[in-house]
Amino acid sequence: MKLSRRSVFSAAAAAAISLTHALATDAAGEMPIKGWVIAGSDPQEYEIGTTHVAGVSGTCVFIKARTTSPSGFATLTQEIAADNYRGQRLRLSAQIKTDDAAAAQLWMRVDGPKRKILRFYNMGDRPVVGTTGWKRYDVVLDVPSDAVHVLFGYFLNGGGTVWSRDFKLEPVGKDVPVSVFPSKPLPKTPANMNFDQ
Amino acid sequence: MMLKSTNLCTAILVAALSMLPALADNTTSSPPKGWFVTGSAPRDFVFGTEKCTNGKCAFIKAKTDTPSGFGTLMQEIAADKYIGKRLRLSAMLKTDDANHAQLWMRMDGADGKMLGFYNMDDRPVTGTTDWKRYSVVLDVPEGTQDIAFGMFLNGKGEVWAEDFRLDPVSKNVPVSSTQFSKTPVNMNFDQ
Repeated sequence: MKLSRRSVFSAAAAAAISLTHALATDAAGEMPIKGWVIAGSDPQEYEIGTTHVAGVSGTCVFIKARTTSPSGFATLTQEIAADNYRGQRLRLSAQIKTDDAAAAQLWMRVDGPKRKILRFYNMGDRPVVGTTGWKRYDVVLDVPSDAVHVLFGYFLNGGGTVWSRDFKLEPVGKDVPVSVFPSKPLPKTPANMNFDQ
Repeated sequence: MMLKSTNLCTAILVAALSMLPALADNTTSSPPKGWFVTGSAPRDFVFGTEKCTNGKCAFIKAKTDTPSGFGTLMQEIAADKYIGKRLRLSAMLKTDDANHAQLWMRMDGADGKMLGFYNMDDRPVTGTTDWKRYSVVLDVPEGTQDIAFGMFLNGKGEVWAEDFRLDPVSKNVPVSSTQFSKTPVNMNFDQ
């Protein structure tokens, strides 16, 4: 997969998650949440846990920045074998609510052999920002025939709090569009080579 | 492109350069217009412009003596205009107590396939040096989609750059490639 300026938001999560995945579970010093792993570039800058939120049933998870300007992002993730999903189109969705969030995003990544990133999307072009009520968001990716792992989760990148509940990972029909980063055309010529602009 | 174990540094840089552009948005520095900041540890560096000898220059300054990686200023352009040509990136560089300051250029094809890469790994600018023009020359093969280029500072120190140029050159200008030693060295670690 090509990671360039045009997929600028994708890169942080893709790279950071593969680099820091090993830190995992107790990195933030919180109680582990069964089945989920805490990762990210700076998970220690966030409080992560489960809670109940008035007005909705069931348990929510939250990621809350410890300061107004944490230096990176924290994510709750799961990694599963791709076996059950190869050849299918997969939709990750969850209910998300935010309070003064810099950027809260669902993400999913499909890895091939040797950790090659085959597919990736993280709502980089449409993060949940500010204070928002419960709403379902989704990410849709194809799982190619050589997929080995599927990773997914959600992260908070910057200040604020995000709550999430009712994650679903389900195959969908090929009529459901795949999530892609919008691609901006590159400039045809170099710019500002003399730094005088 | 084959990445051999002897080519580890290059491989790491290539990986980092292609994987981490987003960290740019977390830095407090302000890159010059048209350029963006990336690298393996861009937060360990300050990027900006200041007045130099012949107008303005760009700088990368390590915030500490032991930054955890490298920071780069780079651009990415469409290859269309340059397909089939030999392209020279050059710039005037000056350093102060720099670990490694290097120009680099990369040719990217479809699906992120790398069609050409050189980053002065075999001849980095180190220590304190005065203004001098350095260059990197690569062919732009058929199939190239994007051309990425820039300069980076890997480790401590400061580097200034001015008057970047990206020029097609004739085929008698040699293409840059990392020169590896023909024999193993220091196998006993006594050097």
